[in-house]
Amino acid sequence: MRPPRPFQSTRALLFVLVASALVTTGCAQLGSALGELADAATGLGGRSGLGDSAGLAVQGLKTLGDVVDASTSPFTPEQEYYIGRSVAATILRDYPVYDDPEATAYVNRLGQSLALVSQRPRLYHGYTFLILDTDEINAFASPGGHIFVSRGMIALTRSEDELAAVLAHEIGHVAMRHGLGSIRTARVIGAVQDGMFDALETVSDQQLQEVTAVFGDTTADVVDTLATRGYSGATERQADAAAVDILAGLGYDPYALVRVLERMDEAQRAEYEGDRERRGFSRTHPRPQSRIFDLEQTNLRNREPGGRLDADVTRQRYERALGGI
Amino acid sequence: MRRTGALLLTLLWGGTLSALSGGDRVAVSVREDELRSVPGFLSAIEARVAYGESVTVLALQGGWVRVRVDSSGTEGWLHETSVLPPREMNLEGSTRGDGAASTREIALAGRGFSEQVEREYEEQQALDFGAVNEMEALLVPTSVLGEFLSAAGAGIAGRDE
Repeated sequence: MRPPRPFQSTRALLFVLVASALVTTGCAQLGSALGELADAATGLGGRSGLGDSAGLAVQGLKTLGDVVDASTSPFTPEQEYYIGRSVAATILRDYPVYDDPEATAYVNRLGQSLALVSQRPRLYHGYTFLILDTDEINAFASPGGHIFVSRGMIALTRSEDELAAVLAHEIGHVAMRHGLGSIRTARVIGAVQDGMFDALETVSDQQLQEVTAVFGDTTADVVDTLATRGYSGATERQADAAAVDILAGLGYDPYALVRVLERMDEAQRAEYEGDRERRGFSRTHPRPQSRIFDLEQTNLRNREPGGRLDADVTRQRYERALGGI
Repeated sequence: MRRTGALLLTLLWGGTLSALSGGDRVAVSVREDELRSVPGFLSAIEARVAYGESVTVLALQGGWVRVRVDSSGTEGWLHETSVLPPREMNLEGSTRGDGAASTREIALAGRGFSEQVEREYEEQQALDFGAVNEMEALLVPTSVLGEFLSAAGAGIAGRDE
């Protein structure tokens, strides 16, 4: 229980105070000093197999989720949403959208249905889904509920159950606030730790610039995690566990996630074994085999394979919507 | 041990809500939502509520909260992830006597402020938030999701027709 506090524009002004206190050096760009820090961390961390689960601890870098008394997010729902919008805008700058209204509508119906049985069915705006027009096998989720799945990833799936598994994993990341929890930018974390959230009722031009700079840092940090650095292995396993619950919650086969992971492992074997440069999922995720092992020891242990939905209906609508991919 | 601690923190971080109990005054934490006649996303819509609206908790049932809207007296069910204690939305101590936050207070707590920052960031980074708006327009009405689910024989709780 936290003691009552007097009126504060607290979290809304997180960015202002952090920036003011620590003296910003200007608006962060992707690939700035922050990126260099992340690169160094990636080099230390290693990204293969079970060793990944040590992740952040091995690197000695704290994340916001590690250091905050996190019974609640230090951001308001709206701030999560606005950070999410910037993350989404950055992804949409870097990837073309697969322009197929029927496929997009289908992925949204499926994904939004899955979200209803997640542990966080309601977001400030809600969950929406887009297909990225790339062969790369990948999927991203912004803290605001913007979920992207690549054409290459969809091509790897063979049924509605399997596509549902991919989307449910991303929903799990959003529901558990993994994006914001992964923030490592020292000045944001420091501000949260120090409780530097004093009242500030008006925002001057200079403060707006400072806030925008830190907002940029926050966005860049989250994008870097999604696209380059990846979450810790433990975080990915939480999203896998959430995905199994979501699948089972709607009657999809929870083992569909295992089938997708097996196919990802097969498709990217050369990347995981170091014979080829890692791209997309293989760069940001632990090797699928280790994730399957974990699932079978935990959340799949007492679950029977198989779903209870009408297989004819799900097959027909999956093929009709995604046959072109 | 360390891993367990980190996991616990992450679970707490991702937790939906601190415990609610009857009589609590909370605020709607999503942009808009529907008050449902019974717990469940497919039940009849009683009324609509918006971000920051103050509601009083009347009952709890399986992840759903029966609330009374303080300004209108309307009652209905919201999912527990649609409400938060006002302090977690920067509305602490800033509500009026009737429990409703003023427009200015809500703006200060996030919306207006964040929009301003987004505009500034958009200019600096040459990002296209129009594409994000188009993506957000892909939100599907819950009734359509209900049809999608029932077509394949999937059921979720709360249909009361």
